[in-house]
Amino acid sequence: MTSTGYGTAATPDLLPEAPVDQHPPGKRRKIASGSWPRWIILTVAAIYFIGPLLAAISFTVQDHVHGGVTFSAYRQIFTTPANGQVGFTTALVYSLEIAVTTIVLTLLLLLPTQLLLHLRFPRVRGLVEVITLLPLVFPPVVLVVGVDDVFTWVGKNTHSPLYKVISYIRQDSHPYILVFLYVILAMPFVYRTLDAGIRSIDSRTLVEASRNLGAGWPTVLFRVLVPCLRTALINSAFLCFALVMGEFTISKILNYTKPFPVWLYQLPTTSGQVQAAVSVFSLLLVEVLLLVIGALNWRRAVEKKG
Amino acid sequence: MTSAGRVESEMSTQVEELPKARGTGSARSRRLSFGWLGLVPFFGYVFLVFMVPIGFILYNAFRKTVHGASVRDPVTQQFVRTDHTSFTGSNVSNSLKGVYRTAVVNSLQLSAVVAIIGAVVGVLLAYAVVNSKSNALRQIVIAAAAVTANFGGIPLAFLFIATVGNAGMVTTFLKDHLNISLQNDLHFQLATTAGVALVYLYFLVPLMVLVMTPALEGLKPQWAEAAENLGANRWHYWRYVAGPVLLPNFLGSVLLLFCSSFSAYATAYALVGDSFPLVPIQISSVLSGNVLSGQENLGAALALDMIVIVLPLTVVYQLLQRRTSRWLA
Amino acid sequence: MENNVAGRGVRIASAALAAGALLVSVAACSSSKSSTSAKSSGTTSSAPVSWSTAQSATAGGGMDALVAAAKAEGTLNLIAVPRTWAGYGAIIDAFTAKYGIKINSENPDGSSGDEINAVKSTKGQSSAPDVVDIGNSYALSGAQEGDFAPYKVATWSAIPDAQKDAGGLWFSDYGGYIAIGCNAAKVGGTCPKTIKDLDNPAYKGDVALNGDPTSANAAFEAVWAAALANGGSATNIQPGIDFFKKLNSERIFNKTKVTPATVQSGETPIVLDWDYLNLGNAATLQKAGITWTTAVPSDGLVSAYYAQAVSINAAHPAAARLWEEFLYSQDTSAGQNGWIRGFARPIELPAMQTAGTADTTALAKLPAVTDPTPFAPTPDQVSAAKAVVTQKWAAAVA
Repeated sequence: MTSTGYGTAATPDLLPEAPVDQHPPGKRRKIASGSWPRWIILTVAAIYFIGPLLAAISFTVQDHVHGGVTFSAYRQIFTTPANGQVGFTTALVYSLEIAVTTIVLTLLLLLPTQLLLHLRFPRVRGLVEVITLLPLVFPPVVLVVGVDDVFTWVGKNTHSPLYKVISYIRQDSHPYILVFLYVILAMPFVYRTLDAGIRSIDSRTLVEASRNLGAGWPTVLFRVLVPCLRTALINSAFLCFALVMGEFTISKILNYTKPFPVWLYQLPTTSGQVQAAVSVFSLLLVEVLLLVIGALNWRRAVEKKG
Repeated sequence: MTSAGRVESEMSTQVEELPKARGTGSARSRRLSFGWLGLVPFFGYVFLVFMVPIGFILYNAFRKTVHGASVRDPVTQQFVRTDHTSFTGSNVSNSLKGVYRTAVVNSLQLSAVVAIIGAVVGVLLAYAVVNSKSNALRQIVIAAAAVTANFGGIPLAFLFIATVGNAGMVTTFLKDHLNISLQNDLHFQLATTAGVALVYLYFLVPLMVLVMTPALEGLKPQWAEAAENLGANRWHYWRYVAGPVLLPNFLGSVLLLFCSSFSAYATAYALVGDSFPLVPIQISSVLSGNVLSGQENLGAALALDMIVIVLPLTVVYQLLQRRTSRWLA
Repeated sequence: MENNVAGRGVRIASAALAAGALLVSVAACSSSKSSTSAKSSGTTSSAPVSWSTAQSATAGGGMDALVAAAKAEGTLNLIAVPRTWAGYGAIIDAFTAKYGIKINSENPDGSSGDEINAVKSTKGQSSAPDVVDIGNSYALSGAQEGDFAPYKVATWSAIPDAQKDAGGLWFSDYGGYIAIGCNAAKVGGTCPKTIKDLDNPAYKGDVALNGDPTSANAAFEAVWAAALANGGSATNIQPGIDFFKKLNSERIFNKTKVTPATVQSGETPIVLDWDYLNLGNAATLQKAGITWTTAVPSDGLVSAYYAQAVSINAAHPAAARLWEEFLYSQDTSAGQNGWIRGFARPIELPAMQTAGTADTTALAKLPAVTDPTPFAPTPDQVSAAKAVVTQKWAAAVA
């Protein structure tokens, strides 16, 4: 779903909390507003954004043989493809496993580091922030060229332990190399999300207070900080999830065929209906998930205020 | 623990925790060195998984292997040849010739066009949303933008193929009911640069909306009132007040859109296939072996081209970002 | 008492390092263990391991030993072998039926490049491909790079010298002619029979290649066929590029990616592709009520053979070699005849026709082609032509 992830760069919170509009609409006056051009723009935007979704849905339910409507394309999603590919559930679960591993590794790597930076090395934060922006400068297409070059170089000596390690992490059944690379891709967004979260909770006071009350470090981390950072952690997890479930570039160029987007692309389809059906299905799934999480965030924000 | 003991440990904790606590020299340096160790996983990881591959690109882009004569080993039947590897500029120069040159030019043009169109449309949309009376519209659009900005990739491409592809709903509707051929009469085909641009806007415009909405909301109504009081009309307001304030943010966003579409791969790949003249697609084509012998490191050279184009733009973007916070905070 | 965040960071760091070290040692241990077990089974049961270096059936201990070893391995990994390509589906089924060896067919729509990549990158994995079926230029470069294990099938002498590597690193398997496939109903009744026929305004938007010539072998050879029809030769492919440039400017050339869907829907009613693929598709299309004709253009006779090779990193070396023996056997149910039934011309066809082992019924369904001087560019000429196409194609059909 995420072709580049730049969208998530702009939205550390996937769905911003219901903001209090400090400039209520009534106060914006004639000098800056006009109503009919606004409605034209909104209508055109609505057509452009909702249109393809509706068109795709109607495309997928067309019955070319008998005319009328059929859901056979959606039923076919779950049958085994004729060309020897794995099935829909296998591909989905494959990507899900990679996503979960990525989330765990990213949070394991970034949360302690960011807490350490925030509490002990505030001046290094600038450097780390620049580092976390590097994956935006060197996009996945570029990164995968480098990774491929590393593989070629390591492959020149097939008896070295390094070759064995690289071979192991490249294996189709446990593609750790994908996990490692996805952590890098997720870094800019997860860093910003966690950073916003850590800044907002005054972690220094929390840590001092709990230490003063005699808490050990695990307690401080898991029972004090993590619950306070729950929104940020959930948002980060979801960012990673969306990134991994939609990541095509690296997995395709490194010749993995089971991750979900690659699987979807290679799905044999005589009319394009099944591919469109899977696309509609997965996009709606992501939308629903996002709205659910947004609603949860919203409700917590409302509860906090009330 | 006795209460006395607790008080003592509390006090010693407080003494240690104060940021500028002067403990004994050895305790302090021990603490600092352990602290730095805590950062090792992060820096080590980034170095291993990120810097090393990039380093390989920068190195290999300038390396060429010339194959010596092959001699067949009579026992194993394998060819043995001595290769000579040396530094060269030919990879980079080849990466700017022929189809690769077409790809670079095409990618630059595509990215520039979608960046500008996406920015303008996005800003207009953000403006329309920010000025509306209803709060609900704003929430809906922001939420929808957050969702669609994360679309892209394969599913999005298939959505558009189902809409305006050669067998898409709109295409067949036009052909069957209005006798208009999308390809021949309207000169539009999805599997072209124009088609790719159309699809890219789908996630670039929401990105723009998300970035510009806070900026537009940062325009204080007091400025508009003050301008009006001083006799400015709408044009003057925008030209002299709001425009300059928003300009760094706007330009930064244009750059963001440019870099985003320049490096995008999945959507274009699904639409136009694996030989289309766009740089990311050419890179993947080269990596899957479609190179002539002697040009094995062409992929690294193309990657280097991408880095050279995107890096300065990102630096400018960062500089512009620092300027935006001044007025709109 | 180190009550600070740094100390915590240290503990995390050391835990991570320990985990990492554990991972590496497990990896090293597991891979060395698997090789030891292979060796031990090798010494006790005369040799799955020695088959990975056996250069022929007799050198490895005889056909019976090969069959036994292959059955012990139990599996064969194929890559980029679609069932509908040159009758492979039936050949795979026949092999499994005869020897009980299960065949894993990975990435059926992959290209020759994908196959070579897989050979290079999957050493030591159980999913590593055992054999490859690749274009001629890939066979030559793969041999240079040590991707293949030498092996000479029992019928080695029936393969012409020019169509095999002298050491057995690769050997041609089947081939065909570039042909024009056509759905008469969608092009106004008359199908083009020669390359020159394609240049007809009646075929506006109809003519497509199977892929892009810069990356797909069939499309590349089709451009060469167009070159031959327009005064080109083995040393000059430019007329082919110019021909398609002309077709493109007249909007006859359709750049849509050809898929079964586009053929069936009539979006690409004329496709230049291998004759065996066109003929194979005709059978499927017949079921959908579409008549798909195939014509080999007499003005652009381009034929090419694909090549077989055994991977040097084959996961199942005995099964790999048995598969090759099966493919090159002239039995009625084996590979060579299987390819005839798939509308392709097997490399041993001349020998089979002399020996009378060819399936004549199937042979009769192949298009009759008079080709007194077969098109046979040298590897250097192929590389040169590829270079020209890589540089000039995109601009020509922009």
